[in-house]
Amino acid sequence: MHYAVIPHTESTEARLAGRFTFTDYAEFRSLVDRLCSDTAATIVFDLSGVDFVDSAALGMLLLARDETSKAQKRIVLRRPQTQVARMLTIARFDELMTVDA
Amino acid sequence: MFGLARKTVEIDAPVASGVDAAPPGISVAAPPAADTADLVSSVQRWLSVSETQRRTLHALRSEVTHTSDDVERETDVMTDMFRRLADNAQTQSAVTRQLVGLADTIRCGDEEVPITTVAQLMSDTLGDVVSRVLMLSKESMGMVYALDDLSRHVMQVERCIAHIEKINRETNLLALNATIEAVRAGDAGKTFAVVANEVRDLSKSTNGLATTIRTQIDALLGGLRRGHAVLKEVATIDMSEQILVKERLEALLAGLVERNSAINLLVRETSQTAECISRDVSTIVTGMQFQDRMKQRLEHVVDTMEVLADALSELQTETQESHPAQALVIEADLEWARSLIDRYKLGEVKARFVSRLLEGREDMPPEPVVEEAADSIELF
Repeated sequence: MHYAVIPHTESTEARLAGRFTFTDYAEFRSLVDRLCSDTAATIVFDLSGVDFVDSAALGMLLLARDETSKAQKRIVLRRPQTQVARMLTIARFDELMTVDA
Repeated sequence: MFGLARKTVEIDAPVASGVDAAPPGISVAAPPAADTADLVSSVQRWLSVSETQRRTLHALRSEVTHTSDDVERETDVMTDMFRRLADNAQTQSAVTRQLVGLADTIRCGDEEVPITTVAQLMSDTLGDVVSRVLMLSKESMGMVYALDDLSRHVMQVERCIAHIEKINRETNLLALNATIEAVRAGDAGKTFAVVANEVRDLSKSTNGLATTIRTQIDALLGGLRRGHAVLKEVATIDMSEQILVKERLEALLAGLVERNSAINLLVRETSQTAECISRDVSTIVTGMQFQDRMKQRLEHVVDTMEVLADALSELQTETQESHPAQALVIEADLEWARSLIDRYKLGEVKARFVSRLLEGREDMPPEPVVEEAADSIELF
């Protein structure tokens, strides 16, 4: 998985692409640390380029949510695609954070 | 009772011609002998026809009565069968209602659990499983992060040890140099030499300590690496398939519940159909009472024919007995009778009519001949 960070006025956007799995843990962790140190109050993960997430990835997203709420920021997941969208729905992520179609 | 005008015609003696023998206004000429013969012949023919008619009326009576009995018998049979049909439909309906009961619930131990409850239970359980899988994923990734942090700290310690060892080596070298200088200084350097020695000893034991620490750190790092490997095994078990299965299972359950509804609907339809059958059967049974009216009407017909036959018989006898000199006979016109019988297609009817018309029998006809069967089929 690779990513790009785009700062906006009200939020910081992280565009993820490729397959998001266990092997990306080190990268994702440092990404989250970087995002938390930004000043913007909202962190947006654009998932439109992600074609697959495994259960480890879901776990990492949950950990990210814990981190960001400690830093008093909120998470938005944007435009999840087919497999990713199904996983997020079945795992009821919409009850834990904002998921924008 | 038929108001027959009983006229006695004096034909054996010529009537005297003359006005005084006849009622005023009517002149009756004496009939010539040839006319008389004609008249007798006519009367004889009439008697013959009358006898044929009489026998035919008897035969017809028998036919009509037979027919009426047949219809009565068959109607009774049909009424019974229709009643049985209605009963069966009701039984069927009861059975299907039982089916509904079965389709609606599943027996579990002592309980009858409705299908919708089962579906909900499964759905909730699946939801639970998914939650737990997620929690497992989250915690194991958290462990991976923690091990990572630990590794970093341990590496840091390892660097410190390396540094200590380096310092130690330098200290040792310095002590060695100091000892050499001390020897060169002779007596004045004796104390210095002692101190230098102590420093070398200290350095040695520090080295020993460093080595021990290094051994421990290696062991620690080994443990960490193994822990990381195990966690990786756990965390990379991709549960995404299992999570997606929840969707499919829920769809199947929904299908199950829907099929149940469909079954219920069908059963209700079956019940309604059974009701319809019952109602229709009642109507049929009522309708078949036409048979009663028919029987009565036919009885009237039979009665009338009997009356006619009797009247004919009376007149025949009277005519014959009034003119003994003419030697009138009462015989059926067999030619005519045969041509009538030839019209009948049904073999058994033919047999009966032969018996009554040609043979003049009043009783039941003889057993029908084998060719009957073919004739009966013709009817259909």
